[in-house]
Formats: sequence, C-alpha cells, structure tokens
Amino acid sequence: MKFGRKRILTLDELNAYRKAYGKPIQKKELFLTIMIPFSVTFFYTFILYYYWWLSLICGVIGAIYGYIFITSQQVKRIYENNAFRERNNFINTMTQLLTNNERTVLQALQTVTERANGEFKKDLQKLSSDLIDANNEDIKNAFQELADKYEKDVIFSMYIEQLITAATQGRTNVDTLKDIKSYHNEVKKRQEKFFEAKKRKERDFKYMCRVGLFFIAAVTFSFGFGQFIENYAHHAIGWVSSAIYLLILARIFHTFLKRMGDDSVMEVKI
Amino acid sequence: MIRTLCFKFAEENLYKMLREMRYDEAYFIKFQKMRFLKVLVFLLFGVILSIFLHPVAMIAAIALAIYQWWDQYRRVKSKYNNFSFKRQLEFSKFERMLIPYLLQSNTSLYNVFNHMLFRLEDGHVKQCLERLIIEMNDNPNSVEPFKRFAEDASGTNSAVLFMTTLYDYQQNTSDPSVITELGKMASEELFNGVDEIIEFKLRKFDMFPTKLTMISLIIVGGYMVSMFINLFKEIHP
Repeated sequence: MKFGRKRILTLDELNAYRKAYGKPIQKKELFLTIMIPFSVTFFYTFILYYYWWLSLICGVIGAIYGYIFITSQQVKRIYENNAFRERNNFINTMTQLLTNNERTVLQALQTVTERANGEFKKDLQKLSSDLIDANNEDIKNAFQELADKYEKDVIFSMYIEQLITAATQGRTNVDTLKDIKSYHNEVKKRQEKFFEAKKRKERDFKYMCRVGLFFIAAVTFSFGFGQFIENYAHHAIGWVSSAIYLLILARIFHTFLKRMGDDSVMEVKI
Repeated sequence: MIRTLCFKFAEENLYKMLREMRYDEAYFIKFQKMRFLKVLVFLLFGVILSIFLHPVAMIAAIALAIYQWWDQYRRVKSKYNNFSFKRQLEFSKFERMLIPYLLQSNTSLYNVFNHMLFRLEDGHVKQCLERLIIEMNDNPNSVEPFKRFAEDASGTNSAVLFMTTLYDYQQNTSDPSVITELGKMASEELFNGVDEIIEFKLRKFDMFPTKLTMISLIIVGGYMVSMFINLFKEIHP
C-alpha cells in the first residue's frame, strides 16, 4: 500500500490501512479524534469571544480538521510502525534461522511467514508462492518487489539484496546478514528513543498551552469579567486581536502536530 | 563591470555556497543584483520619507537596508547548511549500501558502481556517481575522480578518506578486511546521521514553548489598547 500525497482519505480507505494490522477503526476512537479538536477549538474561541454560535462554527472547523488531518495521520503512523516491527521481526528471525540451521533461504522463509502478522504476512506469502519453481530471474524479481514496496527502509532493502544473493547463488553470507540485522535493530532502538523524546516534547507543549490559558484567564478577570466582555470580547479591537491570536495559535498547533507525526529517523524533508 | 561589482560586494563564501548548491554564475549575478535593487528601494523610500516626514526616517531606512542585505545572505547560508546536511546523509546511505556489494567477490568496483546507479534514488549523489563512472573510464589509474566524487557528494574529510581507501583497495589490495574496515566507517557515519536527524527534528520543537508564551501578549496588548480607548472615551465623552 502506498500513501498518496495530500489526499483526503475516506473512512473506508482509512479502515483498509487499519485492517492491514489489526482491527478497523472503532466508533469510539473516531468520535474522540473528532471531539477533541472540536472541544479545543470551541473552548479557545469561546473564552475569547463569548459568542456560542461563533465557537460552534470554529468547533466544527476544528472537527473537520481533526477528521481530515489528525485521523489519517494517526492511522498512517500506526500502520508504518506496525510494518516496521514486522520487518524487524522478519530480519531477526530470518538471520537466526539461517545461522543456526542448515536451511536454505526458501525453507527459512516458510518458517518466518508463519510467524509474521497482518499485511506483511501476505507479502511474504506472495513471495513464497512466487518462489515456487522459479528460475533465478524470477527469484530476483519476486524479492525485489518486496524490497521496492518498503524502499524507504534502506536497511531492509539491503537485507533483501543479500537474500537474493543467497537464494540465487546458493551461498549465505551469514556475517553480512548479522551485520545488517544489528543495523536494523539499532535503528529500531533509536526510533524508540526518538518516540520517547517526542512524548516529552508533547508534555512540554501541553503544559505551555495551560500557561497560555492561565494568561487569558488573568486578563479576563484583571478588571472584572463584565469589563472584559464589554470592552474586549464584544468589541472590534478584541475581535481583531483575538482573531490574530487564534490564527497564529492554529498555525502553531498544526506545525506541532505535523512534527509530532514525523516518525522517520532515516530521512528529513527540508 | 557589474560582474566584478557583484563579486566585490559578495560575502566571502557566498559564491562558493551557491555553486555547491548547483547554481551557476548567472544566478549568482541575478541574486546580487536583486540585493542591490532592494537596498536602493529602501534608501529611496528613506530619502522620500525624510524629505516629507522626518529626517529620522533616513536612519531607519539605512538600518533596514543593511538588515535585508544581511538577511538575504543569512537565508542562503541556512539553505546551504540544510543542503550539506542532507547531502551528507545521502552520502552515508550510499556508503552503507555499497559495502554488501563489495563483499560479493568476483565483481569489479566498476560493476558495483553501475549496480548502485540502479539502486540509488534520483538525486545529487546519483548524478555525482554517474560522473565518477565516466571519469573512471577516462583515466582508470587516477585517484582524482574518487576525490572529486567525495568532495561533490559529501564534502567531508571522512568521505574523502572513504573514497581514497576504496581507490587503494581497487588498485592494490583485494584484501576483504579493508572492506570490513570501510563498512565500520560507513555504519558509524550512518548512525551519526540518524542521531543528527533525531537531534534536528527534536530541536524543531524547542521554539514552541516560547511561541506559545509570546502570542499570549497579543491578547494582553489587545485588551490594554481597548481599555485605553475606553478610558479615553470616558475622559472626553
């Protein structure tokens, strides 16, 4: 499965990604990913404007954003993450099987396929069936197809490259396989470290949002609530400055979410 | 005349950076001309404003002109930093991919490079590699093409070392332990790259707390302005 660029996914398409590894999207989950952005935008707009209808409009915009952007991003992240784990398992088990036993690549592949899950299992099953009665050229193409599907994972591609040599030429270079395996594990370790660090950044971000809300509350009650409504919330100057505030805030939220969604430790988009 | 002026007023490494990012001289001249033009526009505005409004405007205009002159340079520089960062990453990927091929005996370096051409994504390194292959054909007993490749594709010392070692391996020894050594170098670089990417991406989060605090001032400022106007109205009804 390939993700198209900048395209809105329908619920069915999102579900297809989820089903690739595990259950389809639950109603409760969908409800949450729409309700949370709705409540956040509603809340922010309301405490600045005190017009319930305006807050409702902004809330709906937030909810639509939540559906279009956040849901698909989350689904993609989970999908990529699961697929990466499967590839990691594949590389580790495969290397182990090829080291310990006197097995051929094809025999090892069968054992690994049984242990795989989800979409990756299907990939491996297809690979295995393609390899039956195949000549060297076919073997190469079948493996290459798998490597191409996950071409972003350079180390996985390297591993597959080695398997091609092993399967076509009959000799297994165990040392190289072990090397590549440890690289893949190393990347996995770093990725986990990266996720942890990002979680800390998220906590900081949420904390600073609360500080911002505290600021607004301080302003609201500084000269009394009535004054605030009359001279700011329901006043042209207040409309303009709150609108600027909300727009910049929305931009910050959006870039933050985008950066949070970037899990790759092997590439940067500049 | 204009050309020499453009070079005279350019910062020392500006042309070098642009050239490494594959811009030609014509672009550089155009870039410098735009900078001159913007400075002139600022100064012109300064003159007009200082005549009609206040002489202080001239100082502000000069300050703005200098700032934007410098800012343009700063932009090229940050673009260049990003570029060389990306270039290095691509190169370390290239190194890492190369090793398994070299370990397959009975292939020549030339074949390996040709094979790599198919595997590499279109980009800077690929273009450099294409040129390296052509130059290797033209003078097979020279280390220069290798060095040039390292400099163009990565620009780091370790890249040059890597490529010259590779050349020596091809010319003199066919000792596989050299390849193992190269492999160690390459994987070290790859993981340095990964660490750098992580650091780079995490650093991008650092500005968020400041930004979130700063924008609160918009509300505070807005409220103060509206309170002042209100007060003013009460005093002069």
